[in-house]
Amino acid sequence: MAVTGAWWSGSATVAGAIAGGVLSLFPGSFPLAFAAESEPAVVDPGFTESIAPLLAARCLGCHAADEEISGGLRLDLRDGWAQGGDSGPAIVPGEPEQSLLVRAIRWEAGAPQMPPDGKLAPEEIELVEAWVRRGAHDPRGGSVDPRPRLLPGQAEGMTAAEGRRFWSVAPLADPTTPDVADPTWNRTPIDRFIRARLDAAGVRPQAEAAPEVLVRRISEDLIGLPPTPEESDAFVAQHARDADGAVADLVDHLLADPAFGERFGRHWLDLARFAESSGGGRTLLFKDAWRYRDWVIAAVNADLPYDRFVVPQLAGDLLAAEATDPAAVGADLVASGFLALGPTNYEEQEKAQLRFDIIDEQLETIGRTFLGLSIGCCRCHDHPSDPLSQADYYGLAGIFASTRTLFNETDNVARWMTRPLPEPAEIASRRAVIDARVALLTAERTKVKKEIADAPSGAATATPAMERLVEIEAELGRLGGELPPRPTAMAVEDHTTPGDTAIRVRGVEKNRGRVVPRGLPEVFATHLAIPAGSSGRMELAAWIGSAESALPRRVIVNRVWGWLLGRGIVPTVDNFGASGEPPSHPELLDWLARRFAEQGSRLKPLVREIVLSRTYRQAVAPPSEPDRGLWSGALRRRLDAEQIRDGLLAAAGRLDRTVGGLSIVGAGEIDANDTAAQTIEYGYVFDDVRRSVYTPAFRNRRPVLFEAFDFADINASSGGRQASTVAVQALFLANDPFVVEACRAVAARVRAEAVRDDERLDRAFRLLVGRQPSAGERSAAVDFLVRAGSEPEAWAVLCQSIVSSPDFRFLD
Amino acid sequence: MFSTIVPAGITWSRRAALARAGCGFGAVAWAGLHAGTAPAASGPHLPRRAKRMIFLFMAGGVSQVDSFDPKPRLTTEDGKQMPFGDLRSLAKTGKSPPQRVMKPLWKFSRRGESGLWVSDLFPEIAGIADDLCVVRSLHTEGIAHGPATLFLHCGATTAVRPSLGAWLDYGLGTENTDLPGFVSLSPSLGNGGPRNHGTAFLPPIHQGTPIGRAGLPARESGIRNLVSPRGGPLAAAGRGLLAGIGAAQAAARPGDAELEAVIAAGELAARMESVAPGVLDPAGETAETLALYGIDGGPADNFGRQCLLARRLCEAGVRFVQVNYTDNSNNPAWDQHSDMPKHALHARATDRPVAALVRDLKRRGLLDDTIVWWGSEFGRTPYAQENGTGRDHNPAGFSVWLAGGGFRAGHAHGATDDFGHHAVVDRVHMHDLHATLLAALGLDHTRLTFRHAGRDHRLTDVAGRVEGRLFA
Repeated sequence: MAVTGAWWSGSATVAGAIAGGVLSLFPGSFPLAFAAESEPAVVDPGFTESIAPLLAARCLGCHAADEEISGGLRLDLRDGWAQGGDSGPAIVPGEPEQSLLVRAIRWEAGAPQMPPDGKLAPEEIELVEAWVRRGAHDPRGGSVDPRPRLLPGQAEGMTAAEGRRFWSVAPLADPTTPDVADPTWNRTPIDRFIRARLDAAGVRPQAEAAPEVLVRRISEDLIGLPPTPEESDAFVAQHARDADGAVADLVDHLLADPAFGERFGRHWLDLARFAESSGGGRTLLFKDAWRYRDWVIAAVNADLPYDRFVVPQLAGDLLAAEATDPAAVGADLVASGFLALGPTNYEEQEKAQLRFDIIDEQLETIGRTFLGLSIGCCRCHDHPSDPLSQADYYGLAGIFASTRTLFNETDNVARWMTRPLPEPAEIASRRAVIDARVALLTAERTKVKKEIADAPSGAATATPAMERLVEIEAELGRLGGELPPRPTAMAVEDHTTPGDTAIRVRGVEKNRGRVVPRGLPEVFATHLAIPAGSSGRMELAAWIGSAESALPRRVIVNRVWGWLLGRGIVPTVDNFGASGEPPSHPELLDWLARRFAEQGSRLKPLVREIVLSRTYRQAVAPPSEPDRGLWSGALRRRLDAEQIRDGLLAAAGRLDRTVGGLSIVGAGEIDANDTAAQTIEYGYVFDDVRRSVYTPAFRNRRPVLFEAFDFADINASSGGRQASTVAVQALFLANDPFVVEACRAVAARVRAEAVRDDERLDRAFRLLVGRQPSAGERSAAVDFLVRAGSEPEAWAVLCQSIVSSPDFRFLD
Repeated sequence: MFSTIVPAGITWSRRAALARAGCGFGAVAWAGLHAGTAPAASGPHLPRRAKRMIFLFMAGGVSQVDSFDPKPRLTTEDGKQMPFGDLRSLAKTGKSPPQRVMKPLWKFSRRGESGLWVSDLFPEIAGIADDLCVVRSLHTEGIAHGPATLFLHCGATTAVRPSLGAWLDYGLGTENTDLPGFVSLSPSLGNGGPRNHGTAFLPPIHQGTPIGRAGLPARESGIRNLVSPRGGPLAAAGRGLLAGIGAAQAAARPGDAELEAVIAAGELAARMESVAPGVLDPAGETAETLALYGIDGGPADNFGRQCLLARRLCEAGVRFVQVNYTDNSNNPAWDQHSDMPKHALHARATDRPVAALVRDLKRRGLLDDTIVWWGSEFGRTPYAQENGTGRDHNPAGFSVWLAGGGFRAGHAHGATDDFGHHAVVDRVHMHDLHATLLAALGLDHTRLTFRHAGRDHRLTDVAGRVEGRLFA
């Protein structure tokens, strides 16, 4: 620096300060700290007299040690502004126009507005500008902590090396099935793991549930519907002769029912935050989302191996590019819609932010769904408890930054990508002919229009050109109606120039840090070999689907266990991190994961193995026996919203079992960005009688029943439902027209199917709660019938009282 | 005591909660109706200034420079092209063309003893100026309605987060036994729709109960499924039958708290059926009160009914009532992009009822511990949009006001720049407003947390500052 110290006279003050010390701040008598370097510090008197007091008064409240250090920027040290905060160096000496600090105090567009509690006076701004222009001399020493903690006292998370030993990430163990004292109890190896722990704790398991209880439980668990009284009778009769055979036959029968895909597919749709509109700000209709829903149901029914289930959802577009069979191409494209189903705010005006919000949502969903990890935490900082760093996050984010999810993203309201689906050859060839003709006519129309426009004014009104234009318009109109619109799917595609992305410091899109290579989080110790020109989604998907990947395997088998038994072996089914709960039976969890792979990584054999077990078939323990988390009995569970609705419709004899297809009335013909699409959502009358999985899944408008009975949050990936007990549920069951009408239909059926009142009573209870009435229930009902008469409406009230009673909602 | 922390993942069973609660099923069933299974760990964190709140949501964005923030330079420079940094243009293109300054369409005057400035847009609200604490330096996130409306209600533009009302219900529980703790009157389905009164990851019991919906006249609005489709002896016999069946089922499983909670919820529903219709029905109000609110078939009739109902719900012990002046469109009510004079239409519909609500609460002695909060998701630009006759959105600086609840009356806080564009003096971010409102209700925004997806979440995320200067 060429400036000499000749005019500097602050030595007394400086000499009294200690290098690296924290400043005490008194404007006017500013004690300075400076580095004990060999060269004498050179100070512009302007700093001491005007800049230091200004900093003290207006900046250091937030930008100094002992404060939260907003934006990571310290202004109490020279190094503080030189090194800068999240947004880089704050001052470029000599260059006020390039100094973020100057731009910030001017409140320039694109810069932070500082100080936030009120702009500096113009003369104060000029002082700072002048000081920066003169070289921003600042005598204060001390060094900035190279790694400032984000929050005071924040705990450090696990390192990647520690994470590799953590129970959820460690390689799958190969446990031997334990020996137990009473091997006759066992039905599948699962039971040995459970019984060994029970024996060790001195706890006896419950006996097998009563057959009429068991048939209702298995039927609700596997297909989400109650058994008919006739199915129940058949099961009970067979069970008396051969309990194991009866259970096995029932399970095989239900696994082959398309309704199995509807039930287990629905579980997956909760995880996929499946919805048919975007919700968020300006909700837009996802008119093609049903194809994804149907793909999931079909995939579950076809029992695709887990890898073949996972890969299309994360990289189906890439599979489709390689596939030749049109059906496979279509299915793969549709499956990739998984990535596009989020609650995106398409009208977000900062489009870079919008792109990043989508990536973040995709990572959060993928993390929870497949890995049981809240990756989203690392958008802004290293994970506070799990072995995930911000670099890990941006390594994954690069994969999705290399993926196009948005279409016309700079529009005021952007859109998701849609891709045309293959059509049957005959239609495709007709469409090709029509498209060629349309292209020809469109070109000609442009030419003819120009001809008309160029004609000298005053020419004849009906020139040949005008006549030709009329003909062209007519033909185009006719061609437009020849075929239905080309079917499309929500899908994604790789970016034309895929590449790595930069860390966004503190998660702020504009604050770019270093670029990190795409790949898996370090804790997984696996290198993804991403070919040049590819996003890396295919490699990521293959890793998640692989039987060699311990964490995703544990997550999926635990989910299946939880769906069937009401609680996971890891109770926090979406959180396999350090803040989640550990597995109650770690050996069983790993055994199931290995068994799953041995059986082709297919869902149905796993379900069968669990349902056939003694563990699953136990009776519910009485309330007096506490649940120790050891499976000494079945858990009493609630029916979920869909089971309540579908069960009522089934009992009423009204359930339409049609599988699949577009179910939003009016959505087929409409452009999703048309405001009329919102009218469809807002004005929708939910009056269909199909299974609930097909009920239009709008984000801003839910059926009352779904809201009242804890349907999963349709905006986020969710591995389990809540079970609340609220008055609106009772009001719904007592007064909602849907329930009233369904119960009238059940009553009519009961009256038609039995003659004597006691037979009708039995029938009503069996249709609605799967059992005969108890003596107490029977006597209450008889009292009622005596008082109310045996008219149709009295029977409707009786049926509705059963529906409103606790047992209707519980599954034993 | 219940813990405020529910493990991430799922509440599979209430039994665990019951065991922790150390109290009988009655308490849980009670809570299950509206207060929820997880009330605040130790009651209010801070001394309470207010017990309840009414939020009058003026959807679409009322213009601050036409209502509460007088800017003489807009008049002296009217018509001039000037280099404003238009936020929407900057967000999309990084550039901002010059804009035409547009003067206020309504005359400003000093009002009341306090001399607070209010324009002729709101003649009735001008009459309660001495009760208002106007925040002229609010700023927020989100340039479009959807993101900004979600930010106003949930403190996040995109991420799915619980609404303010759900946080309050979670933090404070309910004060009554027959009604929900959080009610939203005539909410919109648009711009976030149910998320604006939703719970996201908080337990579903804290969900706001909508009464009516945007577009449905207030007089036809009610709580869903409150009225039995049957009356007379058959309904009475049916209630007896349900009680008998429930008793038989409870006897078969003695000590099953979950089952008993279901029965208790049913009993509470029955109480709601008998109590709520009386609260919703304004038949007992005097002609003078109806006239005060503008309930006379005129332009203020509909919003007048909503404001009157808000008072009645507060009297019945509802903690937080949001009154929505909105519709279901993407450009709701006050969104005058091309026709500023249309603000007068919305003023005619809301001015009298809003002033009446404050006056009515005051004369009933309720204003002291009831916060009335009036405001939009953002304000409007001081310049004409695309040189036309309307104003575009402005989240950078706008005005809201608070009345009652211990806020400083007859006071204006903070300032925008000379044109009313950016908040510049004593700025209050929406996170700060949320923190301040929570503080007024006795909650520390940094301690009102819920663990989800591995971390503790707050309404104010990692920001927010209580602006103590707003308190009297």
